[in-house]
Amino acid sequence: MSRLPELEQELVATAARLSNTPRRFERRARALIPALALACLVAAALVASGLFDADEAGVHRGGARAAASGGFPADATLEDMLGVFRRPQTAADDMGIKKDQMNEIPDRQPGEDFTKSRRVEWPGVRIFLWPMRDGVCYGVPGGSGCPPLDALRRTGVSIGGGSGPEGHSLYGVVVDGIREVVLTAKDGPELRVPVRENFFYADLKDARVDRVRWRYAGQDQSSSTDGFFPEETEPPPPDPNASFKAIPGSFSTPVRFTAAGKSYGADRLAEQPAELFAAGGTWTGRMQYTGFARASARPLPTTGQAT
Amino acid sequence: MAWDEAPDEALLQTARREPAAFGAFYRRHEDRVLSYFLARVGEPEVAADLTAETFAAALSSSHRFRRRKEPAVAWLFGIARNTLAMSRRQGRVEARARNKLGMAPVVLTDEAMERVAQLDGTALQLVGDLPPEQRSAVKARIIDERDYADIAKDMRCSEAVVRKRVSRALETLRDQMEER
Repeated sequence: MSRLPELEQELVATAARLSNTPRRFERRARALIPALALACLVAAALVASGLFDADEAGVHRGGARAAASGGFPADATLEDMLGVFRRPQTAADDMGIKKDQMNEIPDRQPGEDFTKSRRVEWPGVRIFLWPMRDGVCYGVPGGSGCPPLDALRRTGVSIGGGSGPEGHSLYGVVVDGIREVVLTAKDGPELRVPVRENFFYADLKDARVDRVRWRYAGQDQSSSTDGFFPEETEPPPPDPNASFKAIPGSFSTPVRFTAAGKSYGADRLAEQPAELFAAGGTWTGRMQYTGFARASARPLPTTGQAT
Repeated sequence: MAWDEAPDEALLQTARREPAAFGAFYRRHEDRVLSYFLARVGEPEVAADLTAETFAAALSSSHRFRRRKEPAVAWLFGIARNTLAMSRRQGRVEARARNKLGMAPVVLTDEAMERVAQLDGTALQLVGDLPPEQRSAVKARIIDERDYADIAKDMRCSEAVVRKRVSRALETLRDQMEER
């Protein structure tokens, strides 16, 4: 510990701001140029074809908002977002699983690599992080999870929770720049949990948490995790009015179909794979999903037998 | 943590990409810089203020740091000397680097001030325990703020030898401070 920990903390927070600002700007600029060009072309084509309506225009604005909230561009890698993977690996980071043992793990995720693990120094708790393809996995006492990088790019935080005989615990992966997670209950005090090496862990015993916020250095950003330990319920059905964003290159071949005796053609089927995101990966009761396939259809002139 | 074992030069060169690296650099040199200022201004609050400005300036220019002849700690003490000189000229502690970086004012507690005050004299006592040639070199360079060529002339040796002695002395002092 330093003699002036307040000064150390402020210097590190300032360094975090410096590390985020220029790189984020440069990356966004690099990522935005082709994306904007593509978006303009696609928008022009879609508007000209009359296939997408005003609601769908709102979809793209929504997508942009979501990307901005996480603060990382779409091409940000694990190392770009999580500083713990940029530091050298030490003997203390070894989880004890050798490369030739990895295939024996029954529920191993695609690309999951235990040999590249990092141990998070947390008093009294063994916490490890390790990479997987397009994601990061973690293990804490009584729980584990593998949030996708895409979720971290967009939201900056992946929250998980577990229950055991000792009570609840709340934990998660956070991206660079977030230095504190604040847990609050409607009728309880605020619990401030410091972030260490892109991770936070709170042993809540039987305390309830209604809201989780996280603080970037110099900023405050709130999540919408009201009622974090709800009763287990069925996942909600997909919202047909929910927004979606077409993935470039995912347009299907033209589709023809008949409904109520009338022929239709869907020239472009915009599709987004369902995003199945479990908070922490082990908490099926908290699973939420968004995303669905949707087609813009237009009537076809009758040219013969409909199929 | 791995950064605590990395050399100073690596910490400075990665500080702008990896905030924790600068945290390790600060922890490693905090005592020495605080002691340096404390020996000159006598007041823990002012020493802490000067230390904050010194490390802010170091962070601000860390991306420009290139190891040449001097070790990183000599570069840091160069910043410390300039900070002190500027502050003396202006009659108040310089805050340009902190303002430039948008650093929030650091409110120091009485306990923190007590910890700084405990440093008073510690570093100077440790300097007295160094081997004579290292003691003379570090005193001439760090305390008397003389340049290497001048010291080398007095000591009848090359600048490289003086630099080596200062570097070894600072390493020894660091180890001894860490043991306390």
